[in-house]
Amino acid sequence: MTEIPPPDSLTGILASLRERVMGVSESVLSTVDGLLVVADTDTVHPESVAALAAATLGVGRRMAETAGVGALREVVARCGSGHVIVVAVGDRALLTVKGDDGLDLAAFQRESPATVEQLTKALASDVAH
Amino acid sequence: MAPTARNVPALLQGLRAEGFSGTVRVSGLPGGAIHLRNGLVGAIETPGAPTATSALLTSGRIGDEDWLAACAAEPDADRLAGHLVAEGLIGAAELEVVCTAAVFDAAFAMALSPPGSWELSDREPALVAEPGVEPRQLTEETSRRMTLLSRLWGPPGELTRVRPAPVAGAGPRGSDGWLARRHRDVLDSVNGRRTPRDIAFALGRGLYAVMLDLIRMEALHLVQWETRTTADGRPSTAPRVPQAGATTAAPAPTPVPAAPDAAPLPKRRPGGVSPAQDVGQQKKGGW
Repeated sequence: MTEIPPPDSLTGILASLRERVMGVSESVLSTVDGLLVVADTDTVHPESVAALAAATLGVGRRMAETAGVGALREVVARCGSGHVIVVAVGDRALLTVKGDDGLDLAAFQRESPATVEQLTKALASDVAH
Repeated sequence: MAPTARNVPALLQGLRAEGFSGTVRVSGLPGGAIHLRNGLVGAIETPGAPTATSALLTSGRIGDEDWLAACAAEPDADRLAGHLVAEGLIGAAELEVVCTAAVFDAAFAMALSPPGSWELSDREPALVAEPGVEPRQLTEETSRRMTLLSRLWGPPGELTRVRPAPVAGAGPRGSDGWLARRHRDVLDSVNGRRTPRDIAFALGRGLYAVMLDLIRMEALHLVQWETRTTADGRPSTAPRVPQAGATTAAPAPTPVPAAPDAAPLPKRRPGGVSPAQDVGQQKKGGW
């Protein structure tokens, strides 16, 4: 599956993550200050998720720092019937992923670094000129 | 002897003869964990199909608070079934049906893709069916399901990748007098994004049962197969990289003609077009 050429649109990158990881249902790309960039969503309200993602990752980072457990990798909220994961995309953006109860977490952790890198590259042109 | 078995059914057969209690971790996509008790299959956890726990909680059969209280009172998941019954949260017979059905369903889900390697480990607590399912019975039922799906639809592995969408203005939807409740539930959860597996998790129902329902509903022209794997043309505020090639996210896995050729960037269309209306002609003709 990894031989698939990386998609070159932001929505394509998000949809590709949903294709590759069983249980990923929706995702939102937002800025660190809580603004929506692009979303691959179905039921969630993208703007609300974007705003909460910034707060979630901020609190997660501070918690990691306070607890002295190294740099934050991702924030995983395990819930009654699913998961919400927030991960940083470079310094300026955040990716929030909603997964169902059967989310293949191992596959997510294997596939998400590539997705984050693709998103980082796609966003790099924002400040390139 | 068991680890040298040539496939998972043979492995389980060997472990049955040994009366093995423990967990078999099978790698692969999706892979999973098979929990054995005295050689019988008590539970299977796989991302491919809802577990008994998922089915009970998603359907609301057992409330979340009751569930958490039961887990706190009985930390060993193996004994959780007895506790749930003792607390009057569910009947013993019903729980057995749910747990056993989940085992068959998960075995089917794992059989949909080629399994990888496996390793045996100690017993991991799980909500297990009592007494469990005979491996031979599990293998036979799985083959029966695969055969039936192949006959009704085509390669079952491909059915896992379809993304059904409701047919716009499907007649029977309004007059649901004759449409079974479970069909309505499925119809309400198809949206062109979800695979049969996603629908099974959303409803807390078995994957196999959902697949059969979808096949039936496709025959009734209530749903159609959405085969595009790209995102829809949602506008993005972020700049895109210069056009270097196709914009398709991934190759369409089904033998249906791919979506229209990838051309320039997605454009916003006046009036907005939902994916469901977009794919009217892409009906699968495989049966």
